[in-house]
Amino acid sequence: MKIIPIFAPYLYAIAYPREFKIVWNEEMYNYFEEDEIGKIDEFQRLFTLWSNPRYLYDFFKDNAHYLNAEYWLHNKNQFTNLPKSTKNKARKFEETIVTQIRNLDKLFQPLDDNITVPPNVSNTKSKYGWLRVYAINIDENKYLVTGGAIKLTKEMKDHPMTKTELKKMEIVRNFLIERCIIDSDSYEDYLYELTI
Amino acid sequence: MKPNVEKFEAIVSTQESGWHKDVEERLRNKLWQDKAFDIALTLLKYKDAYKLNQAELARKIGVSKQYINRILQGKENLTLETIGKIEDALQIKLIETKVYPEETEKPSPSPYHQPTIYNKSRLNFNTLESPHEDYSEK
Repeated sequence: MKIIPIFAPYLYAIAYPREFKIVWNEEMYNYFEEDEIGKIDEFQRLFTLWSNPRYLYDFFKDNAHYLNAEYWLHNKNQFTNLPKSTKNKARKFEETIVTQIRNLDKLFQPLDDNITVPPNVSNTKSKYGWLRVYAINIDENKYLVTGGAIKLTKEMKDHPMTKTELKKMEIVRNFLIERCIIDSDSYEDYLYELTI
Repeated sequence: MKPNVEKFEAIVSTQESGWHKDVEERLRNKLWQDKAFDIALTLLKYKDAYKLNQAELARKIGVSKQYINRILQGKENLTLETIGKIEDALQIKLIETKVYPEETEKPSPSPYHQPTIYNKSRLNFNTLESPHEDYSEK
């Protein structure tokens, strides 16, 4: 597992090794070259997928049954072409992150929507429409991206993809705790997030 | 520097993220990539509507499996010749062009055309200056 600088000293992303099958599963071999597997970081992987028509088409086709959820039905008019609107949102999201790189503390918020003031909360998300980038807060305006997802359900635990993102965060958290980069004080908050 | 930040910095890789190269390419190639994206979606819908797999679609058009894979991922800057070949093979329209009648003085801008706003000048990588946009959830 490597920590890759995206915009040092503000934004970093994890590059998971090839053996890390919850990221580099068989499906990913459809969208990435052999020499990219296990090398590229999560930030690059996400925005590559979110600009790939085949990935987005397949994703929304495979997850069509989730689109009956209340959130999607209420916003139906926006979603006449989900792959295309997702690609456009991703471009705006990418641009927002870049232009707000010195204000990341305002862009990332606690993972749990119920927490408004984040004391000792290091698991965070940045959201743009239905797109999410998940990150661990290392210090003031310093974030480590652990992954991201197209969020289809209200709760992360209700979809395999967002559930996997929680797992990835747990692995990275442990990696950082072992190296005394973050402490385990906020671990209870994290465990709480897993149960909601 | 706080001790934990120091420890963090110490394990940051020297490897550069390929994202920078990707985003530069997305900016540079936006105009054709947007069209390639739409063409890919049309072909993906065609493939499903006619219950074809990727190899069958490639055969029907007369291109290799590798090439159709690149087209479906929006990675090919297709020539007019290739677009014509696909349209002819599948009997569908991928792009439309308007022929203006002779009496028209000049082609007028389409009311639907949105000029590109995702340009390099907005993303200033050197200074990272903020255009002071609203970064709250859209």
